[in-house]
Amino acid sequence: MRATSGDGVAIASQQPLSGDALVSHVARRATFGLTPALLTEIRSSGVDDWLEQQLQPSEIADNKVEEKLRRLRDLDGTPADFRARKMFGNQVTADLQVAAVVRAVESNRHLLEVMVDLWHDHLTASSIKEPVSWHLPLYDRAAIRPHALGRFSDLLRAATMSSAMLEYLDTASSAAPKVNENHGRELLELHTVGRAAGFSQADVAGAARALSGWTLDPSDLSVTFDPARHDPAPGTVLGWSTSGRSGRAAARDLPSLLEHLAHHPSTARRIATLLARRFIADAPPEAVVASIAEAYLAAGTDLAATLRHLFATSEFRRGGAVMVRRPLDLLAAQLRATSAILDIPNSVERATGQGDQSTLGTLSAFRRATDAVDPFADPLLRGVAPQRPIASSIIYGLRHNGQPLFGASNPSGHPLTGARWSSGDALLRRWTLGAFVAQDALPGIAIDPTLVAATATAAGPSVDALAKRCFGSSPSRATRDGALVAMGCAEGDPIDDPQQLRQALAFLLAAPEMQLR
Amino acid sequence: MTTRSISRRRFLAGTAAACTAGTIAPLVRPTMAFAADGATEHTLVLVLLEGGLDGLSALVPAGDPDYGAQRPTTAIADAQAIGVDATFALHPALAPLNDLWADGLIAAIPALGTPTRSRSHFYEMAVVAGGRGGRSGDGTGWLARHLLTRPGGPPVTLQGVSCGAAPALELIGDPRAFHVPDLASVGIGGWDPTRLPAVESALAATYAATVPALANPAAVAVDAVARLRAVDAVDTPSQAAYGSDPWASQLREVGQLIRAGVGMEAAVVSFGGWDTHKAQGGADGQLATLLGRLASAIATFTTDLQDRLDDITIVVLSEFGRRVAENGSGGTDHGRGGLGIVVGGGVRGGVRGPWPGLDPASLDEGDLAVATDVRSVLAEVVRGRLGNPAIDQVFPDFAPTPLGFA
Repeated sequence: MRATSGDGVAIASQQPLSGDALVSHVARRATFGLTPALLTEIRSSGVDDWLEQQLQPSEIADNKVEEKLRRLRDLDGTPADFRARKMFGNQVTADLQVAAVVRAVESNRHLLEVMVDLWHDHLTASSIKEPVSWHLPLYDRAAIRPHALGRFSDLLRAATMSSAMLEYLDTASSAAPKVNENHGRELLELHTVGRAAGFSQADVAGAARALSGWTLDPSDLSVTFDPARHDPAPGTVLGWSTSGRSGRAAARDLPSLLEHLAHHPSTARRIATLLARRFIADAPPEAVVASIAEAYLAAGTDLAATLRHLFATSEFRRGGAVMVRRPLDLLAAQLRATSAILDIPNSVERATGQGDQSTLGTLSAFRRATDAVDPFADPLLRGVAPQRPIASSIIYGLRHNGQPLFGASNPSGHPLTGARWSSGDALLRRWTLGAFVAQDALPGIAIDPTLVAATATAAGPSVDALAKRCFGSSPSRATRDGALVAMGCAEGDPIDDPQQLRQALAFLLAAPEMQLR
Repeated sequence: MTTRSISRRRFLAGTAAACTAGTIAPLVRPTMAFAADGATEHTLVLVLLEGGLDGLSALVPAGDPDYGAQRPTTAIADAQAIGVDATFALHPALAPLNDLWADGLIAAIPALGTPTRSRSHFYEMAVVAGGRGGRSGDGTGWLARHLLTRPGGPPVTLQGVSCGAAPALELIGDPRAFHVPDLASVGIGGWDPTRLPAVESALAATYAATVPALANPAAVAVDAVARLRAVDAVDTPSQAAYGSDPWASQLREVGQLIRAGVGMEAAVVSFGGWDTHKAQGGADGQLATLLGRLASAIATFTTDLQDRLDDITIVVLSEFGRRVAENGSGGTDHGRGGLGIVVGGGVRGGVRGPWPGLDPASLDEGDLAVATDVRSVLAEVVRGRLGNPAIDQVFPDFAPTPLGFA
């Protein structure tokens, strides 16, 4: 592992990385983890060209993944469809969660998937409000994915005016004259300018007025503007003013406000900070944030252009900061390192819900008592698990590690930084996850069996070979020693049991090198 | 070890069998010497009733003239309830708490709730846990903020513990908070138990050599596993018969941790099943059974730990109350004003906080209005029972209303 100064602090004096160290760094930061093929691909394209390709995902063929995802038919579900089938929570998002992991592990559009994951938290719409779950597959495919590397102003408009967000942040039920301010506040505080902009209660009220009128058509849950619900009172938001238009023409106010907010300097800083915290350091240097914000504004909020600038900064090229992988990153990296096969059965009937909202409401996905320890005993997964073992593995594995996908506990989404993910009890769960992957103990997921086929090689070189596969480099001395202890082997002991190799792998998947991106 | 031999249950932990078989050589020899480093002798036990407790059936407003008419099949009749005062009576299933109530050690706060109005389980759970009235803030839980700001000695490994299937949202932000699914299975899962001692030693040594961002929490993990295993190893008999109820078992483990002196200052347990939309029942039935289990578990726990009850505060909360009018299924739907209960030695018991009443003009969209913010109860516990004056940091931008129980 590279030397670092500690918690999320980049080492200013370090020289830019080059050669294989740079290739490995780029692979760790800009994808969900190393694979042998990925390192070869980056090396042969060169880092700059490879990043440039990744910034244009539509030019990258991804047929294999798209073919596989066609089997997940609830990915195409509409809100009305899920409502009619009386499905809630994980029942609705099971396919979406499986797809997120399949894409993270297998897609050739590595950077796109990293950005989709990032935006799902920055622009959280969470299934913890049960009716929101109906809208999440649509939200993912229509709001987040098309714009994840496009213009932030387009992304913001698609997300803000999505049925998922209107439902999640109460705009759908907001009506004049007493408009609900929840969405207006989060739009400013979380999605755009942030607290640092110093917005006032009047700004919040102005944003809530611009949002008011946007609601869901009860017949099919599609987004519609209802002038009768719109609050026409004048308002201002950080230099933007309501138009004073009435009737249907007032529908033009919200897109106008969102355009204003997307281009606001405070939003530029906030997005720049977000990107820097994802790709550079938990606490990025002020100078690099400022330069990324400038690039964002100069590019008219174009995210690919902003990232192009970020990837060229010396702060990115130096590496060095300690950044702990979030649970999805960790699981994906473990599955990528082991060339795991994710089994999506071909002939799965569409699941249906078990009942109405009232009975499902009792089934807390967060803090069930101990009877939920067995994922197959968890009623939330009934109707999912028997047909799709992999769904229960993914849903349960990530929930257990504190990152229920599409189910964040509050509008700020799952946090990005390390502290949440590397507490003592979190580490125990992360170590457990590695052992489960190495032992093929997650239903529907199996590592490449050739990785653990017994050979005549001695223990030491076997650990080195597996470490190369997992980390893209030799293990640290401490990790190598630890793996041998865990296997109960000395350096030169012959390996005659595949189980010994699984133990070595279980240890390496739990090692410090695996925890960091 | 074969693949098949790993049960799903081991996902949470894998050491139970090894502990009973005596095959584990712990990283730290179990001793009882942990007690000295706790910063406080006081322990908060937070009991979360998931699903939304119908407060109107637990602390029954029997004297409110509008109560009976709203609850044709679920009302608790005067004759069935345990009288408290002119307005309120306790549900008869709460009889196991009678002695504590008579001793004045239980405070009940009606019309309790949050300023948000989502009536959504998970959302309101998160609002209660965040302690920011629905604002996101930095995503930390109020209990974590208390543990990080409380006066006294340095933080200790197990100062905040949550039980159950997932970590408590209240403890998010405390790097030392620990989630203990159950005491019998603490540790690393997925390994053959015979390899675990070597694996734990190897992980401890490997992580000790890495960056502080990982080395520090790894040390916490290893320390906590050793401490918790010590609890399992040393004899800390519970003095009362808890029986087989899983809720009671959770409190029994909390009692074990308190007696073992591991430095625990707060424990969070959650009891589910309170979402009584259908066939809620009255003096008997579904909800009565739940209330009986709750009362029995708490009574057993307080009997078990009666020698140190002055140093224990039990707080019972739920994410919301239920609608005043019963629905067509003999149940109640999601509402607003609920009920909180505080139990402990030295608590000034009785009904605390205002009662907005059930007459139609006083209702809030058909719900009992929220007259007391849940943060007022928690702030009084934090300041008055746990001795932390930093209320502005635990509950930012909030002015608590004194309730007078602490």
